[in-house]
Amino acid sequence: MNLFRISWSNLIARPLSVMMSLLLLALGVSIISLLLLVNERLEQNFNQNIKGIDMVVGAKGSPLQLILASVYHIDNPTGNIPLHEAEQLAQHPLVEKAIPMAYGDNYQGYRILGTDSQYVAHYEGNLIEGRLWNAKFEVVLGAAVAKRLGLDMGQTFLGAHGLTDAKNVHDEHPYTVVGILQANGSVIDQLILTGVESVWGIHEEHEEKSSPTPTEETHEEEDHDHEEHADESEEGKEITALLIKFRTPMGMVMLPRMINEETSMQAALPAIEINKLLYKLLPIAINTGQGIAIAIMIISAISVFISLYNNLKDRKYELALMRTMGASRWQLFFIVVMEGLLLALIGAILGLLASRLGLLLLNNMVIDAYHYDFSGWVLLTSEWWLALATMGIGFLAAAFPGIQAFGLNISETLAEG
Amino acid sequence: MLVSRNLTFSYTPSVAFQFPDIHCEAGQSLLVLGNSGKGKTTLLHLLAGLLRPNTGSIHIGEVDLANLGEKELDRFRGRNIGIVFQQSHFVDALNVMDNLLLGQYLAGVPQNKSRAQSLLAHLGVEERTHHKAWKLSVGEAQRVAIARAVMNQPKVLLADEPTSALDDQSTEKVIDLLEEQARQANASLIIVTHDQRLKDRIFDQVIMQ
Repeated sequence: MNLFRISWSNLIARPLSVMMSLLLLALGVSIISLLLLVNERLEQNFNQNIKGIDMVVGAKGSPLQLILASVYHIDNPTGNIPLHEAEQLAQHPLVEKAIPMAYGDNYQGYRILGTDSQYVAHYEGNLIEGRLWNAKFEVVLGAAVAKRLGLDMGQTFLGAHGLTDAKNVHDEHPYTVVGILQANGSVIDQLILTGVESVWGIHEEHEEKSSPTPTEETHEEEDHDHEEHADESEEGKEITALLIKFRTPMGMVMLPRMINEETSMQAALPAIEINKLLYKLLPIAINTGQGIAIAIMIISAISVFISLYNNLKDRKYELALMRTMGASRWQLFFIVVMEGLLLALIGAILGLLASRLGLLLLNNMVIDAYHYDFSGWVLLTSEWWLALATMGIGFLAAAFPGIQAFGLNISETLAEG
Repeated sequence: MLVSRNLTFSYTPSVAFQFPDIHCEAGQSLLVLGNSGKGKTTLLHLLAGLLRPNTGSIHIGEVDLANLGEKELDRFRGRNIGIVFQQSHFVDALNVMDNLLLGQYLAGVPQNKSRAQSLLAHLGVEERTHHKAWKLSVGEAQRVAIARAVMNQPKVLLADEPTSALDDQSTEKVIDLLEEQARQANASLIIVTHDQRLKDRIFDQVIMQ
């Protein structure tokens, strides 16, 4: 027998009102915690994938869209840019690294990205099987793609035109899996990688069918020698975007302006666009959610208060009785406050569990829709604070009934029966 | 042993009580008789240290209750004073055994399950040990209340109208139990009542005017 046991017994003696308080508390906690978790994951994902990319160059349009499409692969690209302009830029002395990206096809919703080996190196992709592509229509699978689609080494599949559509299948050129990457939590897990030539190859075929120009392939090899032909021969050659790392910070000052003013391309800075997204747009949504959750928390605090207060009225005699048995005023105070704290603690634990469950559900949803992975069971620092704040709410809600128990007039209460 | 002298108490200036002196040796039984409105319950609360008198003194053993602070008084009460109320109340959320152990816990003495068990057996309610307190019948509840009052071997056992709602036969039984338990704990038994039937059972009497 101890104070904890008395409080606990009192709680389980009235399951309905306790359940109501717990539900409200858990609801409030889970909503706040879910928002914190999603926020944290988004920030982490966004910042991880942005690493080492100073600038993205693509077609003119929304800079945020360009970043979302080329860095995170969750939006459609703004369009294509001419290869020769991109190559010119890649040669610029302020550019240390320029990774080409060419979109075109998808396989069951997973994007097939034409790029070069720098891309794999940039995201620190390690092959667990096979090798990188070195011929047209050879592909390397991201870990999540391999797992979800059940594709294995040597298997072939047909890409569909566009980024999501599965109707328009290129049945002439099957892709062959030559390598599979290890999972590393970056966007690379969710992609099918191939050479830029594969993406061109598929679409050349289409052009050849409609208007055959058989010289195109030979010109391609010689474009540096025959400057005057370059424009002509590469007219059809486009890529979607370039990921650029500057050689010096000067690049940040010079290049974006130059590109935006002097070329048909657009330069977008991921750090700035993502800051806009994470710290201006997202907080609006998150604050709204938090407002609702805080309202629920306040209601649950009131519910805990009412539950304890009503119960106290019924239990006045019991509390006076405990005083006759030797309990001090403080012990009565603790018994009542402990009930509030226990409610808050259980509510917080239930809420945190529920938010993880919610995240798991959300994760399954998001994986299908965006190929983004949200899973994980870590308790965030902010969630410790949330649990602590919930305990604080429990304490506050119990404090007034506790004070009443403290100041209880034993003689009067006992005389009233 | 309990000794009180010149006790007075008033709830409001117009309602003032003056109480007869009380002297009850260890092992002795004392009946305090008085009609309704004479302040019987008030006197019992004063003796139990639940109220502080305006004037006068109460000694239990060597201890003057007036010298005890609030917390010391709570502790002293838990260890040395057992009270049986007119109606038996318990902590409803706890079972019978836990209600008995509660008294030991709150008084800060070691919890003794076997004492609780043997008391319940002796009072004939051992099969109720693990029942919730609110499920007891009136008779059972009174027995458990007596067991609770003597759990800590108190120096003083106070009973407030323990028999007023009982028939003659049950009254006999309850007084037997109270006297027996008080004797076993070597406690001073003080019964405050208007029940005239007890006059012929307990011969040491104080009449409240």
